[in-house]
Amino acid sequence: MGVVVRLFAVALIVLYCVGPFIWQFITSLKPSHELTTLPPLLPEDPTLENYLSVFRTHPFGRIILNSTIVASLTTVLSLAIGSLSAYALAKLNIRGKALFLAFVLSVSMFPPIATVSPLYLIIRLLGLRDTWWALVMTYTTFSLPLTIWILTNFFRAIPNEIYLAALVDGCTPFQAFRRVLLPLALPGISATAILVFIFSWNEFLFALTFTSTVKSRTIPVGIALFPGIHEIPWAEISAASVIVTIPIVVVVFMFQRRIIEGLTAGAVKG
Amino acid sequence: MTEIRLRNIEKRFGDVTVIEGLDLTIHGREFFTFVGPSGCGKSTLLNLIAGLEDITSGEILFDGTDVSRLSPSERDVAMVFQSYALYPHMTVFENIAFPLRVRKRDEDTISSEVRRVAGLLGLEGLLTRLPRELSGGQRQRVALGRAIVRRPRVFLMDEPLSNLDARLRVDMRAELKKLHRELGITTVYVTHDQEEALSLSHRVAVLLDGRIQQVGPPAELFEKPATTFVATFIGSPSMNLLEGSIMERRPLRIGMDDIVVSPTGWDIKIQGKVILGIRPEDVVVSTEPLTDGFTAEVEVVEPVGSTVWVDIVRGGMRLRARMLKGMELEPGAQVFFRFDPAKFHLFDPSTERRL
Ligand SMILES: Nc1ncnc2c1ncn2[C@@H]1O[C@H](COP(=O)(O)OP(=O)(O)OP(=O)(O)O)[C@@H](O)[C@H]1O
Ligand SMILES: [Mg+2]
Repeated sequence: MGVVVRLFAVALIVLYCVGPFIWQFITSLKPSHELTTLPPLLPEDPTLENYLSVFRTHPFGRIILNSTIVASLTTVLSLAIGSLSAYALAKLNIRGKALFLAFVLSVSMFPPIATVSPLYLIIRLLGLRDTWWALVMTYTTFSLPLTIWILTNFFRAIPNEIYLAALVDGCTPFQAFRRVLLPLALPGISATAILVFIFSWNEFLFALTFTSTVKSRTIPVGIALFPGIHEIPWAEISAASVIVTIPIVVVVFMFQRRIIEGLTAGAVKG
Repeated sequence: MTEIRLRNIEKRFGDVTVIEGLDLTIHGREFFTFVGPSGCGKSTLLNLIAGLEDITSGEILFDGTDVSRLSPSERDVAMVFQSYALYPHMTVFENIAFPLRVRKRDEDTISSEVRRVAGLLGLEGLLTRLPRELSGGQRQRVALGRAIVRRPRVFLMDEPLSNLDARLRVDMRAELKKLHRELGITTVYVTHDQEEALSLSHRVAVLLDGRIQQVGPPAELFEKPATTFVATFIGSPSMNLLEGSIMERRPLRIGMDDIVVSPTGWDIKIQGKVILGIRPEDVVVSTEPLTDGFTAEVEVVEPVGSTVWVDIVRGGMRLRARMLKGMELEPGAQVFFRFDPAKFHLFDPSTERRL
């Protein structure tokens, strides 16, 4: 009895999470005349036409490229800056660490909408309008507080004696970071990488404001611009959404292996 | 061969003074131990020598050169941490090789040096394992291997044996001693176990609240403890401390409760109260009457194999003593006991220092 209830609950949750995605997938396979009719639930006449038309009628390849580059650069930059700062905050003797962390956190409290206009002015001033860098810089700025917070906690969890041992064994603080602490913080870094990547992949507001052409337009904006004057191409939108979800799934699985590996390796305190 | 001099060392964390005005010279090639109860500042002192913490004031000299401002690697020290602090993501080989890799030795040298050290410590079969796949004793040896692989100027060891079981601890003690003899590197060792300190070291310093109570060879600490703290801390079971008052100085006669003892070999200047220390092995208990003996009641009997210790009470006096061989005693029994008059230690009650 209890088992049945639990299974039912799990099924409900799974349906809740995956349902919309399945629905979208089904829609993406439907030819246009089946789109707005129900039944049939499943397409009677499944077609890949929508997938092809996403690329034929829109510069979707370029848009995916833009998003991939922006999200990857943001992830790399955030982790590079974030892990170094977190290491310093967790292990080095610096005055005012707590104050700095509080300051970092307060930066992330600003609602994005409040910063759009000033940021737009700055980016125009720098001549970065409609470039990847406009987005990379903005996203890095907004993902850094979270990155620093998560990673600081990961570095703190590494026993101090391991860090001290590295110093005694002849490492400079930077060598201790690269050879000992970084490998041990890998699970945290992977988890953070996933979060930052997804954030940059999905972000809409800044992307809409800072980009104007297909040169730098990213996926959320690209899809939002699909609708023409007379109709909303639901099937194409669905196909595009399915396509852009796949890289996210790949990234998550790629890093997930790392997370599990890392967790077991870090479990030993020497 | 490095000689370490600590000159008027002081260490404060905020308002808390952990080490206070410490002066000490540790000779080249010496095996020197700091011993003391938990929280007395042993680890802090070791970290100061290593350069992992900055001294608040004073100077640390290696062979006469001031190293107080140098980093750990510039001081060229190696340290074994209490928790071993092995690198969890590296194999035993890589752990031991690490100090050489950081110093950019070539691959052949690294390989042969690591194998030499592994041979010395009996780790040959474990080189490809990760730390989590090792027993406590094996980890301990890897930590040691990482320290000795590069012949540092000074070895620092922070309670390296405290996580091992009793048997292994005694074995490792012997190995440490052998290792020290073979390498001849100045070693500063820290422990809270007085027996370990006595059995390993050339000289021992007893620390209490960041101050040195006494420095000397193990035998001296045992035979001539400078303070009541050293007297009770060194030796197991610990020394009995009793209160007495001086009745006569020449010949010396001291009254305790209703009995009088005459310690020999003392020439004291003070009057009034005095603290008498006597080790349990120098108080003998018997069921038969003893010459110069007193009666007492048995409270606890504690056999430990080679000897039997008995806690006895007489009025307000309570002490631990050694039982003569071949006797059966029950708590509550009446017994006779006797002090060895040559084995008393006398302390001034106001300063707690030896008279
Ligand atoms: N970073 C620090 N900040 C403040 N106080 C400290 C710090 N490190 C140590 N202390 C204090 O200094 C004293 C000595 O600490 P230390 O670790 O040297 O003791 P210990 O003799 O090694 O003890 P144990 O045998 O338990 O290892 C303790 O009272 C401790 O609370
Ligand atoms: Mg300690």
